[in-house]
Parts: sequence; C-alpha cells; structure tokens
Amino acid sequence: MPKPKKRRKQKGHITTLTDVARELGVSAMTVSRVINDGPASPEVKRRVRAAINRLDYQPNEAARLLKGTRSRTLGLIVPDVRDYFFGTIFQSVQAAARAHDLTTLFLTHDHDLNRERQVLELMLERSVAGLLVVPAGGDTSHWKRVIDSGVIVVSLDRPLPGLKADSVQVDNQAASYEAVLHLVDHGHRRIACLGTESELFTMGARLAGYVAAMQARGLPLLPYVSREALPAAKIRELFAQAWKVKPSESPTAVFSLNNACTLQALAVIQQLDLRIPSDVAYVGFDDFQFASLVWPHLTAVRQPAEEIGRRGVELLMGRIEDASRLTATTILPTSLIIRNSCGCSSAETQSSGAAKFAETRPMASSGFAAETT
Amino acid sequence: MTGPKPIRLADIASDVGVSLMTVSRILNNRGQYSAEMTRKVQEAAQRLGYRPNLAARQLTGRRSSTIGLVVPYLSDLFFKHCVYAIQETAREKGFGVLALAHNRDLKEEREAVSLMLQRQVAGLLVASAGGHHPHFDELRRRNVPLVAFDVPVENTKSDAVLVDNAESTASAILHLLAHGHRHIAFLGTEMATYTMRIRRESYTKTMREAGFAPMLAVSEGPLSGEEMDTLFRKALSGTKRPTAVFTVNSHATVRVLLLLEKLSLSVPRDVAIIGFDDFEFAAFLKPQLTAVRQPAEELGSRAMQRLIDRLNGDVSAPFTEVLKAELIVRESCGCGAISEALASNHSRPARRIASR
Repeated sequence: MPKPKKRRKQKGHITTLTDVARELGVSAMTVSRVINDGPASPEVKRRVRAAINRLDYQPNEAARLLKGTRSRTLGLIVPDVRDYFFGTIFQSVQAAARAHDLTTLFLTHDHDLNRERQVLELMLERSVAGLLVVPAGGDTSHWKRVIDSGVIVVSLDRPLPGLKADSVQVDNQAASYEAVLHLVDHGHRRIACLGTESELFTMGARLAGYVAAMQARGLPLLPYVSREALPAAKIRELFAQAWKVKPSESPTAVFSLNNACTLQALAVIQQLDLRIPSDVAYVGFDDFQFASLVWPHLTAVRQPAEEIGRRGVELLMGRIEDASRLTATTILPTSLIIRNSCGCSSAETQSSGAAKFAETRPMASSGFAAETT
Repeated sequence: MTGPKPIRLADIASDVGVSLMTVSRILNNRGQYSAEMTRKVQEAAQRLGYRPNLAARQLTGRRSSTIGLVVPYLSDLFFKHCVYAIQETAREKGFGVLALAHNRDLKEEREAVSLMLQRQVAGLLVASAGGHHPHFDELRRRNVPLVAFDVPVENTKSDAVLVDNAESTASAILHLLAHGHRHIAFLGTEMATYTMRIRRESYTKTMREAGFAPMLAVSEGPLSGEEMDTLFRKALSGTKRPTAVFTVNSHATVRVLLLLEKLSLSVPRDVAIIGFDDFEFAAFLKPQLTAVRQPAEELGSRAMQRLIDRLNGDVSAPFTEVLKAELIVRESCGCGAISEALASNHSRPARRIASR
C-alpha cells in the first residue's frame, strides 16, 4: 500500500474524485465504485468515505444522474406541513430517508387535486428515486400514468385504489367505532359527529365508524359533516347547528373527525359557554401535543404518525430492491388515549387495551399477484 | 436499478417525423416554426410524457431550480410555519425544496449542508445550529446564494431575516413586572442557540435594570422531556419559588404547564406564566396562555423571497432584516384574573401589544 500523499488544498480549489484517489493511493475507479454503491470491500468503503469527508469532496449529483445512477432524492407530497399529523410524518420520513443517504424533496397540495398534479410534475422533473404521497383524493389517473412509467410510489394515510402502489394506513373505521362506543358506554345517547370532507377516504371511513357504532346501539344519527373542505368560519357555523335545536334534542357528547375539526369545535363550545364534559362530553380523532394541556384533557384517537412515515420509507426502499414484490397495504394500530373530556376521571386515565397489532396484508385480490416478472 | 426509461427528444422526433433539431428548437422556444408544427411537437411531447432533463441542464451551466432548506426541526411548532411559507413561496416560482433537519447538532448541520452541495441546489436557506462550516465558504466559491433565517450564520457574510428576540422578550418581562412580580424565573433549554441566547440576555438585562436578580433554570443543549421536568421542578419547588415564569419556547411552555398541574400550583394565582411562541391551542388552555407570537410565516416567505431575488441577479451587499414579534395578552400572565375580579362575567378579548 503506497503511503498516502500529503493533502494539498489550495484556496478556491474544488476537490475532485482524482484528489480523493490520490490521497488514498487507490484508483479513481475504486473511489467511483464506492460512491455509486458498486462492489468494494467494507474496509475500502470505510476509507474512501472517510477521505471524502476529510477532503470535502462533493460528488456531482447532476453528472451521476446523467450516467443513469439512481437519484439520491426521495419525493414527499403531503397536504400541509403545518398540520400536526402530516408534519410528524414529514419529520419522520426525512429522518428515515437520511438513514438511507437520501434527501427529501417535499411539496404540498393543500388538499387540492389540481395542485397535486402540478407538484407531481415538479417532483418528476427532478428525477426522484421514488415518491411517498398522502393523496388529495378523487381522480388518480395522473398517478396511474406515473406508476405505469416505472416510478415507485408509496401512498400514506390514504390508498391509491387499484394502482400498483404500496400503502401504509390505519383502520380509521374501527378506531372511530371504538371511540364512539366509549361515549355510548358513558351513557350518552345523543352523540353528534362533527367533521368536514366526507368525500375523503379517511373522513369517510371515520364517519362510517360513527354510523356503525350508533346503529349497533340503536341510537339516532346526528352528523354535522360537510362533503367539501370549508374555511374555518364556515366550519364553526356548521358545528354550531348541532346546538340550534330544542335543548332536549341537543347533543350531550360530540365526536370530531380530525385535529382541524377539534380546534373549530372547541371554539364553538367555548363560544356557547358549554362545559366539557358536564355539558358536553368530547372525543376527537387525532391526538396531538396539546391534547393533554387543554382543560379538560382531551380523549383522542392516536395515530402512529411517526411510524407511518418510517414504514413508508421502508416499503419504498424494499420496492427499489425488488420491484416484482406483491403490492402490500400495511395497516398500523391506533389507540384511544383516554383522558378527561370523555367523562372519565383522572384516576381512570389510561390508554385503551384495544390496540390492534400491525398487520401487513398482501393485496392478492387486486390483480397484481400475477405481476411477478 | 436505473428507474424508468425517460422519453428523449429523439422519441418525439421520430413520433412526429421531424428532425431532432426541430424538436429541440421548438421545445426551447428558439427558431421560427409554423404554428401547426409547434402544436404537433408540443402535443407529442405531452402525450409521450416528455420532461426536460434538469440534470442535463445543470451540466450545461443553467441553474438548478431546487432550493435547499436546512432547519433544526421540521415538525416543530415554530419551524413548521416557516417551512410551510418557504415551500409556498418556492412553489409559486416553480422551485422545489429539499429539506433536512439538523436537530440542533453541529455535526448534523455540517452533513446537511454538504449533502445540499452534492445535490447541486441553486441556493440555500439555513436556520443554523450555530456552527461555522467550510461548506458555507464553498457555497460562496460556487456562487450559490445563502440566506440565513431565524439565526445568522456564524462568520459568514450573508443575507439574514431574523425576529426581534430581544425586544419581544423585554416586553414580556416588563409585562410581568407591571403585574407586580419580582421573582421571575427564566426556564428553557438549548441556550447555545443564538435565539435562546438573545432571549436570555434580554431577560437578564431587563431584570437587572428593574433592580431584581435573574433566576435562571436553563441547559446549554437540548434535553429530553424527563430531563426538562427535573430541571424545571427544581426551579419551581424550592423555598424561593418564583411567582412568575418566562418560558423560552413552546417545548418549555408545555413541560412547565404540565409540571405546574402535577405540583398543584395554580396559574396565574400561584405562578404566572408567559411563553415565547404562540400556538393555535393557546386560547383553549385554562387559563388561556399569554405568549409572544413570532411572525413565522412572514419569516419564511421573506427569506425565500430574498433568495429568489439573489438568484435573479440582485448583487447588492448582504443585509439583515429584523421582523417584529408581538405579545398576545390572554390570561396566564394575570390579566384574565384581574378582569374577572374587577368585572365579573366580562370576557375580555385577547389584546395585542406590538413590541417596540
């Protein structure tokens, strides 16, 4: 092994691959193989990476892409990074991707299908290794085109029905069913469901869980749920309708379909000067960091947002390794975090034991089973 | 694994039955062609799913249209609003945003900036962990503009968009002093960070000028939730217990509020509190939280706009822009309690005091 040459770095000189090779006394080809994940012994890999760091060598990504090497960028499309649930997914995807030496390019569609199509184009122009997406819902023809052309897509939170895309979700309907029954078990009969965007996959499933639970116990349905997205003031107007009835008919408990609805529902309850849980008991979908600070502490369905992001990256990496694998939908467990707003006292505060175990279901019926080329 | 086979100009050329040069010229808006020919080529490009190869464009010396963003945390209550506004502003101008979090770790920050250089970003937005890295010099050598936001980049001349941490902290402390508090504690973590340091200095200065001794319960680096509890519990349960506290960010505010409940201390009667960083649920806490609200989205969009100006050839000297924060007065500082005592049943809307 020749002695490493002394490092010479002049001001303004940009380190090249040859510099790294010279420093280590190996061929430029060896350095190139390590950079591009080619065959090399672990010891050589370690030494080359150390030298790259020491010399601040920056491989030229653009040149690598032209040579057909896989992109080191992962694309993520979510509705809105300000939301606690999607923001947590974003942070977790970024961290998991980085562990695979991938950087995350992110864009948001703000629940708008046209915006989703637009940001998808922006993503594809930048040669991503794969895409993670929380779809806006509705038409999926643009996703079909992209997936058919060979781009790896994993959907999070919501499915891309009928398309060859792995997916990570929770069982929204079962989680809602359990949450509503908890209110029923507290003796409530008039339970209102407050929500928006029933057209969305997740919201539709949560609403269905509410309906199923109420019908199972023979209770009246009190849904205050819009089909479309609404501005905050309109949401409050809609929710306030629940109390614009005879006092004997107003709800004694409410179930809200997501975080954003919880925020507006709390504003309405505050405005009507109602007390939780004595005037109205409360359970919401989506736990968040302030649920235990709001008084009384909010009982909420907790989704494993961090794990949804991490599993999504794992599925994407797996698909890059083996594109022929069966398409799989991973269903992660939720838990009902019982605090005080439902009417339980502090002493009873606990997480429900009904947490379901994660299960990975191959979608054998979806017609992709034959695609094992 | 090389991914899907991209559509090339040659594919469009053979589809339409024209020369490669014709396709190239039409798609790059060069040369004169009939409307009919232009339409045919564009239609074929769209039908076949042609996308200009940005990697190739970069090699020919044209700028990449991807921006690098390096922040402490992505899901943090404050930074998520900055990140949102940055992305919105970027998308409007056709830029994509690559994001990395450094978790307030100098080594992670160094790696993140290095990765951004490798990815050939057109420009970089950084909310620094506080370190100076040779990569920042490398950015300048390569003519890649850098805009710092929230925290200036150490030893580097660059544009910066900041929040007036000193003034807003002082206005919060003065508000507590005006309520008659003398023992006001300052609770927080990550004091090594620029913004936290400024808040601490402003607190100490304001207390000294009022003639009272500062009471600090702080750590230099980040702490886990349990470690924060231990640190703050000590400050809140001694014989010289403060009658008011100022929390340095929303993480600290959340921990302190939970802790006060556990210690059966009532807010604001036993301990008044003002937090740095407002958040959407602050009005639903009991009592409602008085907090310093930073213009997070304005900070993000201003920083991104500055970067776009630089990319568009603005070569004026680097300058620092400082945005105002405001004190949102609700109840936890003692204001609600006073209004209840003096005028029962009179609910008072939140007041806003812009810090000077």
